[in-house]
Amino acid sequence: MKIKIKNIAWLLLAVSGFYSCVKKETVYSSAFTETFYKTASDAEKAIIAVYGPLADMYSGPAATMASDFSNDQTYPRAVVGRNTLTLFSYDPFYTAFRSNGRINESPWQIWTSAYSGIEKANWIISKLPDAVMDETRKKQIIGEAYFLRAFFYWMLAKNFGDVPVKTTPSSSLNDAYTAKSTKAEVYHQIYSDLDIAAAAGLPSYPAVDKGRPSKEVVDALYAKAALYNEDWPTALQKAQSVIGSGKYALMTDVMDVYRYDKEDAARIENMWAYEVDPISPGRSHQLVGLCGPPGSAGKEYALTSYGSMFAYQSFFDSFDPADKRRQLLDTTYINRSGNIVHQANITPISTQGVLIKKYQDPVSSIGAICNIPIFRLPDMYLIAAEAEAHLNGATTTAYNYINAIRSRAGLPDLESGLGQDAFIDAVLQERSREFFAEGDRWYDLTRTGKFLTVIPAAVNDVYPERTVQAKNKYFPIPQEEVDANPKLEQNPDWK
Amino acid sequence: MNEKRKNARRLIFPLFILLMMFSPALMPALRAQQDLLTVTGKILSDEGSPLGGATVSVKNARISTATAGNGQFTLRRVPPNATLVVSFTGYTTQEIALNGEASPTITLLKDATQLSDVVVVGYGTQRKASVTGSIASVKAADLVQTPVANVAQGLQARVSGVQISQNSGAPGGNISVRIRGTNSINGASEPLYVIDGIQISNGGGITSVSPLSTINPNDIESVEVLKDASASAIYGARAANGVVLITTKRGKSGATRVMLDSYYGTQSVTKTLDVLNAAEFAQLENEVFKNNYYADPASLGEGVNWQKLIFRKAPVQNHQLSINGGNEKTQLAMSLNYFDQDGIIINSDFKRYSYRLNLDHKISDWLKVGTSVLGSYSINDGITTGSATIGDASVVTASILGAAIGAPPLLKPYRDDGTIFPFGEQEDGRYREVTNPLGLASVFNQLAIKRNLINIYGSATIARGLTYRASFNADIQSSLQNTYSPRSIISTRDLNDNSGSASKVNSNYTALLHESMLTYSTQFGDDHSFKATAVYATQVEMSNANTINASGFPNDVTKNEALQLALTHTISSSRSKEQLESYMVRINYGFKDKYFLDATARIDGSSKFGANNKYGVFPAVAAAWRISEEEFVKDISWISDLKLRASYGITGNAGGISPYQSLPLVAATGSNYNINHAYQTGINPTGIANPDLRWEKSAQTNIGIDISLLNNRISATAEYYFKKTDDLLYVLTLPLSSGYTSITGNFASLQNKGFEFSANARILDKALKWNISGNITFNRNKVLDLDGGVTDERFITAYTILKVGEPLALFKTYVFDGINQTGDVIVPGYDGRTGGYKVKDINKDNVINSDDQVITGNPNPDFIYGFSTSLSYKHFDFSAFFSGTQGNDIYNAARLSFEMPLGQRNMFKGLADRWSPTNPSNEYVSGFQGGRLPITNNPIEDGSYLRCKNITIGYTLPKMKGIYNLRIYISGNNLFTVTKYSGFDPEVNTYAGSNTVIGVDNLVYPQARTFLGGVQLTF
Repeated sequence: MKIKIKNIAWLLLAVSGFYSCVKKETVYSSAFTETFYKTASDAEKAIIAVYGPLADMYSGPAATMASDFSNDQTYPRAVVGRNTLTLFSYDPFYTAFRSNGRINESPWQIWTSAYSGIEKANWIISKLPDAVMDETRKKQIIGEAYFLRAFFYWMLAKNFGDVPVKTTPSSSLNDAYTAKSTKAEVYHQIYSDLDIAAAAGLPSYPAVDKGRPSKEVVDALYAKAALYNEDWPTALQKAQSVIGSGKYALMTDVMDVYRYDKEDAARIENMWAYEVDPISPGRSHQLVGLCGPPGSAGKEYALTSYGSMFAYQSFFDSFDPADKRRQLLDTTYINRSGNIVHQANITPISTQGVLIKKYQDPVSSIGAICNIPIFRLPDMYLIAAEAEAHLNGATTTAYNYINAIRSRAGLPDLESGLGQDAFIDAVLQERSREFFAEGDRWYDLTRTGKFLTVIPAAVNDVYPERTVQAKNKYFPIPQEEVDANPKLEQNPDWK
Repeated sequence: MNEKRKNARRLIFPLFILLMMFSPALMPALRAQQDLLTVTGKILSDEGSPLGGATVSVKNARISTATAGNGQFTLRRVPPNATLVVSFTGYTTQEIALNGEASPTITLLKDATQLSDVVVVGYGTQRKASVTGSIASVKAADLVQTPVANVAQGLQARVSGVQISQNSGAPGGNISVRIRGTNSINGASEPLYVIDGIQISNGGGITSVSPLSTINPNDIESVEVLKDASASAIYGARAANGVVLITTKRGKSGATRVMLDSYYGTQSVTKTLDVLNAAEFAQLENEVFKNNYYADPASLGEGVNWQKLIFRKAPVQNHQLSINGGNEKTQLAMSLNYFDQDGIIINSDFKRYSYRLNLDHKISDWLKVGTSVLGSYSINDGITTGSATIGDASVVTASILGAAIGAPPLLKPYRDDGTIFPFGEQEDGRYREVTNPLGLASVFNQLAIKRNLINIYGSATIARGLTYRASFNADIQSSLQNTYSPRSIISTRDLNDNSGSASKVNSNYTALLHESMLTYSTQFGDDHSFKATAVYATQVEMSNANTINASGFPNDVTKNEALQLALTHTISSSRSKEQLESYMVRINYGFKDKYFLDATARIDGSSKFGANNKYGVFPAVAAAWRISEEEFVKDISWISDLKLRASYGITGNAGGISPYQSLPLVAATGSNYNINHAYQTGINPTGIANPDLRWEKSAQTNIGIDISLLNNRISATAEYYFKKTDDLLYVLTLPLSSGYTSITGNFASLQNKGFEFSANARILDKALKWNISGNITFNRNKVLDLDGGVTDERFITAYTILKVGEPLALFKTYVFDGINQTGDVIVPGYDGRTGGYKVKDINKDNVINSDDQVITGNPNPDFIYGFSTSLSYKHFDFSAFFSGTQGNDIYNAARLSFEMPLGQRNMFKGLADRWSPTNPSNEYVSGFQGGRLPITNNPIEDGSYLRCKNITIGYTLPKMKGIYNLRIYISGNNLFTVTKYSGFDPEVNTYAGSNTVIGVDNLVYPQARTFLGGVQLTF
C-alpha cells in the first residue's frame, strides 16, 4: 500500500512533464508593438501601412464620390444607395449605404480610413524616432507620416467640419475616446504637421518614388488646406512655392494627362495621385467600370464597364465648344461592333447620358491603370489665382495664373477688368471644368456656400428635383461613431 | 547508503508502472483444489426467451463466461457452494447461490426501474439515483435511427433543453447546438464535446464541415448532455454552453459478436421554388429596360428549369462491421465503417472511412489499462449555397441556388458540344452578371480531413476505494482544402490573365491532454456514502496552416494540382499554440440513499486569457432529495420514484477567445499600397491590447423533479433553469477615431431562463409493446447589457438588431404597407415610387427615416419539441419520430433578392402578378431598373413547423442457425413538414453559428427527403 502510493506519486511526477506554463503566450506569426518599429525594414513596412487607408478611401472611391455624386457635374445611376448623395437623402446612420453594402462609397469610409491612417501614422511618429536605421531615411519616413496625417485631417475637415484631433497612438482602451476640436484647431494641426513634413528632406520630382509625396506635394497640400481654411496669404505663398519650384509643368495636351498609356509621362503635372496598376494583388478603384457604358459595350472605355456614372447634360453644355477639356466628356460612343451609339441609347435611365472619359482603360483585365489625381499642378495655379484675388483683387498676377490654365485648354484669356467677386467666380468656374470627376467640385461649392443655389439647378430627367439644405455643407458624422464615443457630439446641423 | 538504492527505486518504480500499463501481464491466480462442479445452465429473460451474451461469473472467483445465443453457458471447476452472478445490460443483475445445483435455469428480470443504471458524468460515472444535476442521456439506438453523418443530428429533438438546428442540408454540413439557449453574443455558443474523455471543440459556420462529422455515430454507445452548472462545472472555463459527453462502445466479456449493419437509400429535394418562365421573364425584361429585347415574349414558352438541372436524386449508404467480445481480463470492440452521401445538389458529397479500436485489459487485481483509438478520413465536396448579401451580384454568382433561381430561363445551359455555356456568351452578354449555375457546380471545392482521436489510460486501485487513473489523450487532425474555379465557365470576353484560380490550404491541429485523477469512495456505516474526485489536467493545442492561392492558369487540365503553372501566387502561413492548466475537485455525499449533496470546483488557467486574468474559478453545488424513499411516500404504491433536485454553479466559456487576442500585435492586415507600380505590404498594429480579457461567466440555477409512476411505466422529468451570463465577450464598437473599429472584451451580459419537460410511457408491454416519449422546451432569452449602458441598440445586419432588454437577433425593419398606387402621395426619404413598396410612416412626421423602423419579428421560438412512438409485435417493430418549433419568425431574405425586378435576372413567380397601371397589385412591385426595395417586414414569415423526421418499419427474422440476430427495415426520413413557410425549409439559418443573426434564409442547402432500407446482422 505504501509503496503503491509512492509509485503513484512518482507517476504523477513523470506525467508532470506535460506541465506547462499558461502565464505567457508564445507568439509565432506576429510581432508586438513593443518589438516592432525597431529597424529600417520595420520603418518601410510601417509607412506603407499608412498608405493602405488612403487606398481604402479611394477604392470605392469614397474620396471622389462624396463630392462627385453630390455636385452639379456628375451623377450616379440610382442603384445600391448611390442616389442618396445626389438626392441629399442620406442620414447620420448612412442607412442606404449600409443596407446596400456600399459603405465603401460613402463619407463614412472617408471617416474610417482617415482615422485608420492617422493611427498608423501616430505609431510611426511616436515609435520610429527610437529605431536604429539611417537617420536621413528615418526623417523622411517620419516626414511622410506627418504629411499623410495632415492629408487625412484635411479630408476629415473638408467633409465633416469639426472633428477629433488625436496625435498619439491608442495603447489602451482609455486612449480610444477623443473629443472634437474646432475647425481652426484641426487646421492648426494640419499646418504644424506639414511644417515638419516640409523639413523632412523629402525628394523632389522626378527623384521621388511614384506614389509618395515629393517635397512640393507637401506645399501643394499646404496651399489647398490653406485655401479651404480661407487663409489666403498662406495659400498664395505655398501655391507660388510649388509653381516656382520648377519641378512640375503643365502638359501641352490636356488629354494626355488622363491617357492610360501616358501615365508616367503625366507625372510632370499629376503631382500626387492614388496609385493603381493592372496587377494582382494590387490596389484598384471602380471608376473605370462605373464611367464606361453599360454592358461593357464601349471599346475604348474598359473591358468591363457598367454605365453607372454620367455627367449632367447641363455641365456638358457649360463648356465652350473650343474647350479641349470637353473632349473628356462624350455624348456618343463606338460599340464593340464599331457602330456609333447615340446619346439616347447610352443608358436606359436617361436619353441624355453624357460619358466621362477621364478614366478610360481599354486594356486591363486585372485592376486598372488610371490613377485618380489628388494634386495636379493646375490646382496650384488656380489656388494662387483665387488667393491673390482675395488678397489684392483681380490683379495681373491673378489673371496670369488663370490664363495659364485656360490657354492650355485651348481657350482665350479670361475677359479682363473683372471685379474681385466676378474674378473669383471665374476661377471657381475654371476649377469646375478642370477638376470634374476628381473629387474636388463639391468642396468648392460648400466652402463658398454656393451649393445652396447651384445644386437645385443641377437636375435632369434622372434627378428632376434635388433639394439641398444648409446642413449638407458637411456630412453627418457616422451615427455609430457618435454612439461609440461619449465624448463626441454629432454635427449641430445633423442632431 | 540507502540514498542510492532509494534513488534507484525512485527511477525503477515509475518505469515499472509505465511498463505495466502498456504490456499485458498475464498472471493467472491459483486457487486451492476443491470438489468442483461443472455447471451447465441457461439464462432466460423474464419473457422466457433465451438471453445470449449475458455474463455469468462465480462470485469472488475468476471464473466467468458468457451465454451463447441459446442462453446456455458452461462453467467448469465451480465450488458447489458458490454464488453465481449473472448480468446483462438492461436487466437487473442477479446473484444465485448454487447450493450444489449443476444445471440451473436463471431468469433475469428487466431492469424496470433503471435506477440502478449508471450514467456517465464528467470524469466518472454516477448511479442514476444519486444524480443531482441535470443530465440527459441518449442511447445509441436513438442516435442512429435516422441516417446521420453527425452525432449532433442524431440528438436533434431527443433531449429537452437542447435546440439543434441543421443549418444546411449539405452532406457533412454544419449544425448548431444550443444547450439552454444562446448564452453568448460574440463568443462561441456551441457546447464542449468530450469523446471518451477527449475534449474537443466544435466550430460553426455554414461553409465549414462540422468537426463532429469526422466521428462515426455508429461507434457511439451513449451520449450524455450535461445541462446545469453542477453537472458541467467540472469542465470549468469551457462548460458554460453545456457539455456533451460521448462514450464509444467498449468491449464486453462474453461471446464474440460480429455485427454487420448496412443501409442504402435515396434522397431527393422536398420542394423547388416557383420562378418566372421564359415568356414571363422576357416580358419583364422588356418592361424593366423599356426596350424591345424580345419581340414576342410569349413565343419563348417555359424555357429552362434551372432548379431541375441542379437538383438530383442522390444515394446515401452506410456500412459498418463491428466486432465485440472478450474475456474477464481483456475486452475489445472494433469497427470499420464506410459512409457515403451524395448531395441532392449536383457536385456535393460527403464520404467517410473510419475505424475504432477500444481495448480494456486487467493486468492484475489492482491495475487496469486500456485504449480507445478512433480514426477517420473524410472527404467533402462542397458547393456554395448561401449568400450574405441581398440583391447584389453575389446572390446570383456565388450561390448555386441563387444562380438557379436568377438564371434567365431563356438561356441555354450547354453549348451544342455539351460544354457549359457561359451566360456572357449568350444574348449579347446582357446576362453576364448571372453565373450559369452549372458553371458554379463545376467549381471544385474539396475538404479532406484526417483525424485520429487517441486515448490511453491506466487505472490503479491503490487501496480499498482509492483509485488513481492517468489518461493521455491526443486529437490529431490534418486537413487539405482544395479549390479550383475553371476557365471553362468564364465567357470568352471575360477571360483574363487571372482566369482559372486555385487554392490549397494545409492545416494541422494537434491537441495533447493529460489528466491525472484520484477517486476515493467509501461508505461510513450503513447510511453515509462518500466519494471524492480530484483531477489535475494539462492541455496544449497547436495549430498551423499554410495557404497558397494561385490564379491565371493557361488551361484547366491540371486543375489545382500544378500551382506552379499559374501566373500569380499569394501565400500565407500561420501558427499558434494555446495551453490550459486545470485543477478540480468534486465531492459526492449521500445519506441513506435519500439525501445527496454534490460540490464541485475547477480552476482553469489558460494562456489565451489576458495577463490580468490568467486563472478562473468555477464552483458548483447541488442537492437532491429522493422523496420516494421517505416513509410517508413509500406507501403510495403508484409512485415508484420521486426526486427533487436543485443546483447552483458558475461555469465559464472561453470558446470565443483566440490565442494572442489580448496582446498588442502588429501584423500585415492588407494595409498595402502600390509604390513605383509594385504592390507593397504594410505592417501595422491590429488592435488595442486588452490585458483584462477573460472567460465569459455563467451563473446557473437549476431546479428539477424526476417522477416515475405505476411501477415505472410512466416517467417524467421537469426542470426550470435560470442562467445569467456576465462578462460576455462583446465586440465593442470603438470610435473609429481611435484608429480601430472594435475591441473584443468582457462587456456584455444576457440571461436565459426556461422550462423543459420530458416524459416517457410504456403503455403496453405484453406481446404488443407500445412506448411513447416526448419533450418540450421553453427558453426565453434577454440581452441585459451590451457595453455598460452606452449602447441600447445596434444593427447587426440591415434587418437584425441587438437590443438591451430584448431577445437576441430581433428583426427591425420598415413596415410594409402595400404598393404605392397611381396618385398616392409618396412620403419622401426612402426612394419610394409609384409601383414600388409603400412604407408606413410610423411616427407620422411625413418623412421616412430610421425612426420609422420598428421591431417586426422574433426568430426565437416560443417552444421547441420532439416526440416519438414505437410499437412492436412479435417480429415486427415500428417507430415514428417528430420534431418541431413554434412561434419563430424567419427573415426570408431571398425574397428581397428575387422579388426585386432589377432586370437581368429571373424572379420568383409572384412577379408575374406585378404592379402596373392596369394591374394595381398591392403585393409585387412593378418592373424597374435601378433602385432597391426598402428593407421591410414583407419577407418575414412564420417559421413554425412540425416535421416527421423518421418512420421506420422493421422485421426481425425468426432464429436461424448460425445467425444470432437478423433484422431488416425500411425507413423514411424528413417525410413531411407542416409549415406555412414559403422557402425551401423552415429549419434554416444562413448565418450558421452566429448568435446574433438567426432565422435568416438567404438560400441554404435544402434538407433532403430520404427513403432507405437496411439490414442488421449479428453472428
